[in-house]
Amino acid sequence: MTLETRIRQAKPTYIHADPERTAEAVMVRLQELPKTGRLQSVRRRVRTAGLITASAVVAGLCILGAGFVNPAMANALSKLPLVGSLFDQAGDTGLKSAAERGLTAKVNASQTHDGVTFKISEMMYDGTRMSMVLTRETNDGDNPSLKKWSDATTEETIAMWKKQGKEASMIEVRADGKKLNVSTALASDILHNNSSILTVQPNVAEMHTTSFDLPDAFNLEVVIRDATIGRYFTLSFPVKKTTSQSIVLASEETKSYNGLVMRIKKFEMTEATSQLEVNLSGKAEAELEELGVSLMYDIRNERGESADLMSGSGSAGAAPVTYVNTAEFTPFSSLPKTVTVKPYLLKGTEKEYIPELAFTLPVNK
Amino acid sequence: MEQMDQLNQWIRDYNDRLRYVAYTYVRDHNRVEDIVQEAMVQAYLSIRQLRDPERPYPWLVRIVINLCLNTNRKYRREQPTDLLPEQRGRSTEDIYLQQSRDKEVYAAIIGLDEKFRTPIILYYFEDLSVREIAYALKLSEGAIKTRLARGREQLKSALTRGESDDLGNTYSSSKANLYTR
Repeated sequence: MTLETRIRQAKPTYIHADPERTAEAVMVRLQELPKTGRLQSVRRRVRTAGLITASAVVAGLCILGAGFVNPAMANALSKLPLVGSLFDQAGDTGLKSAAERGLTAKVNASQTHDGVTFKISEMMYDGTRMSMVLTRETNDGDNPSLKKWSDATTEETIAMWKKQGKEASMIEVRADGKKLNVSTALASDILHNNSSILTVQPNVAEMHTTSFDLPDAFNLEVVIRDATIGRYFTLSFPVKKTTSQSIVLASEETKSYNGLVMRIKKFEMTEATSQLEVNLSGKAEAELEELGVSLMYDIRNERGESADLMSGSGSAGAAPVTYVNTAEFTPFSSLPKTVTVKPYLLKGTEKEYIPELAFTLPVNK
Repeated sequence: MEQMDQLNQWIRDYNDRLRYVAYTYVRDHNRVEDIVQEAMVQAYLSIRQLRDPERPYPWLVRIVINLCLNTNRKYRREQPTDLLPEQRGRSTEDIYLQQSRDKEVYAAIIGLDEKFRTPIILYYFEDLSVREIAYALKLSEGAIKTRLARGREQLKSALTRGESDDLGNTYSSSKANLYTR
């Protein structure tokens, strides 16, 4: 008998463990996960400012957390009635700037079921992201925090799965009646209000691009399932691109270092967002994925001023053995003459730049 | 298929196999339980990273092995204490050994160094291709082929050594019997 046959025959009969028991335990673990940001219908691998979050458990749970609202501000907001624009008070630099320049649109969309009203009151769409102010009100005037609602919703979802074997879809977004493949997230730091900022971005992991592929004007439907009362809310309203400027820098140039090949597929600048999309290739799949997760990017203008990182993601590209990194930055205060993309790896708290992979893109006005 | 249905299906299909793979790393029943549950949570949360929905097993193995390596690093210093519950009764290892049709080869496989043992188990027990093993272990296909070849060599020499030891024992016993007579 050959050695290979003997090895195959040596395979033991595996000890059987009750799958129901494992399933129950997995559900409990899912229930115990950190509650913030649970409303995301799609989870992405996310990097927030200054922090690589490679762990799958963390992935996607904090997309709007660190970069968007500082805790002191969030605390103050929780004690004050909401007056004026939430973008202005609690948005990231891009949203603040858009609100100050009047580049956001007032929206009057609401729906009420069983004494609960969901409202969208303000919107910013710049082609790279849709951000909107979402409010949940109750008829009794209690207006519990969105955090309470989102936590309850998660538990309800899990209870529903146990009963029906299905997960409820939480927030769905449709443009002109067509469901969009997007990731959705509520700014977690202000969830103790009954208003928060809902941000919608293309699902890069599935779409392999950061572009919405939408016209400048369309009808948006935001469908929300409130599992606490088991009702769906559909908020429908017309959307127009609210920013006036959209400059897209693209390059076919590739640079390589130690076998890793990099191309800046797109750097898009609006008054509210600067968005980078990088294609990686040239390495074996596992190594490429590891590099894709670890690589981060600094963005500088010709004066050496840098844009602040708000969020980022990494996912497999459309072509085999390719990887896509995306990163969203706060906009520069004025239109730059050049944009330099400086990739780096974090070694402890130190940035280790890779000059061989740095790109400088001219901005043609 | 809904994401939760998918997760449920994976638990039904792969629970026992993933537990076995985890066991070969951590050799502790309680940790295996923990690792497989955590792996399923991670798989659920990162389901969109699954490249081949028709064949999720290599991806699940990769998650399990990552967790095993992290657990081993975390528990390295405490290992002697953690092994105690297994030593009280019949160990899981004994059960697997008893379930094998070729106990000699099984014992030799389990005795291999991890870097040779895992590719052998994934290839011969779990029917993963060289490419899938390379993905699961984050190594090149060339490295896996080398490890499989070296693993087989080591098994061969362990089994040959075992045979000559057996012959030696028989000879000694016979000699002892002669003297007793």
